[in-house]
Amino acid sequence: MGFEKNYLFGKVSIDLTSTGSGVFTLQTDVPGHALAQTFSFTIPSGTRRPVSSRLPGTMQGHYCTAKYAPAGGGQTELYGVKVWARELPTGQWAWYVLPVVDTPLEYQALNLPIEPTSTTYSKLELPVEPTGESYSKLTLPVEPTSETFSKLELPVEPTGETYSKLGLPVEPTSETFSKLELPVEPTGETYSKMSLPVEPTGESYSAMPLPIEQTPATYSSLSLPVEGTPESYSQMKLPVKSTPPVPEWVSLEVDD
Amino acid sequence: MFRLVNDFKEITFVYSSNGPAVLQLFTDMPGGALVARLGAGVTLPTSSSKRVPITIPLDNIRGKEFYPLITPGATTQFELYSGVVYLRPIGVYLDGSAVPQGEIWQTVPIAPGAGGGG
Repeated sequence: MGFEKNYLFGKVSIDLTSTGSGVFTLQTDVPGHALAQTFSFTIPSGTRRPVSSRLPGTMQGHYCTAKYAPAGGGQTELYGVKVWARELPTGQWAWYVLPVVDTPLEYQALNLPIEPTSTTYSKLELPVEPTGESYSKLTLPVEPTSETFSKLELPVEPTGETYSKLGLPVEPTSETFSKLELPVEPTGETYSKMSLPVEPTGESYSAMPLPIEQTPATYSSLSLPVEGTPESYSQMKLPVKSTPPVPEWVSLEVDD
Repeated sequence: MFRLVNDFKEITFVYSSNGPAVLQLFTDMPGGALVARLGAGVTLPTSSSKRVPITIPLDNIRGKEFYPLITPGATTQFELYSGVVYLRPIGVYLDGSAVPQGEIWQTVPIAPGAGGGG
C-alpha cells in the first residue's frame, strides 16, 4: 500500500486529440487534508499528440485526481494520462499512469447484417397444380328450379286509406321587402388607363408577299371544251317550213 | 447503457451491379444525431464481374450508432453479398457539445504508490 506516503509531483503528460480547447486540472490533498485544485492549464485543439506540462514545484499529496473538461464544446478523444512523481523524502522519480479506458490499437471487423447469398441453386417448385389424368365431375353453380311456385312480394308501398298532407317545397314569401344588392361594379372615382389592343407600328418595313400565283416555268396542257367529231353522220333536220297544200280549184258561176 | 464511440477505419462490400450506385454512411457522432458523413456520397462503380470487393476508407468518422445506405442509379440493379466495417472503440471520448454542460473525464482520488506506478 502506498496511500500513507506523500508524493511530489513534477510533470504531467496527456495523450489526446480534440476539436476544441479544454482545461486539465489536478487536485491534491496537501497542504491540508482535503483535495483542492493545485494545477490547471488549457490545452488547445489539435490532432493526436502528447501534451506535457511542468507542475508547480511544491505540488505534493497522498492523493491526486485529474480532470479534463472541454472548454467550449468540441470533441476530445483521451488516450492516456500520466504524472511524473516521486515518493518523499527519498523515492525515485517515476511515471504513474492514471486510469484512462484503453483504446485498442487494432481495428476489429464487424460484419454487416447482410443475408448470405447461396453459392448453389436450390430447387423451387412452382405452384402449378398437376393436371389430373382423368376427368372429374364439376357441378356448375346453377340453382335448381323449384317445382312449385313461391310467393314473391313486390316492393309496392300500400296506398293509404286517408289523404295525408304534403308540403310543397315553396319558400314562403316574406312579408317585408329585403334589400337585394345588384351585382353592378362600382364606378371608380378616378379614370384608369386602358390600353387598346392596337398592335404597335414597327419601326422598319417588313416584306409582305402578295397573293399572286407564280407563272410556271413550263407549259401545261389545257383541254378546250370542243366536242369530238363523230365518225358517222347523223341526221339533222333543217328548219324548212313545210309547203302548204295547194287549194283545190273551185268553179264558181259568174253572172254575165 | 453506456456505449463507446467508435473510430471507423474502412468499409468493405462484395457486390455486383450493372450500373453505378452511391454509398452513404450515417453516424451519430459528433452531434448525437445520425448524419451523413461522406459528403455527397461515394460512387460504387459498375462491377466488372460477379462478386467484386471494394473498400472505402472512412477517415475521421466517429459514431456510437451507424448505418450504411446504398442507392443504386435509376437503371442499376445492385446485388450485395456481404459487408464488413472495421472499427475500434475509443476508450475516452468526450463530447463537449453534450447537454447540459458537456462531458468531462475525471479520476477518483489516486494514491500513486498504491499500485499502478510505472
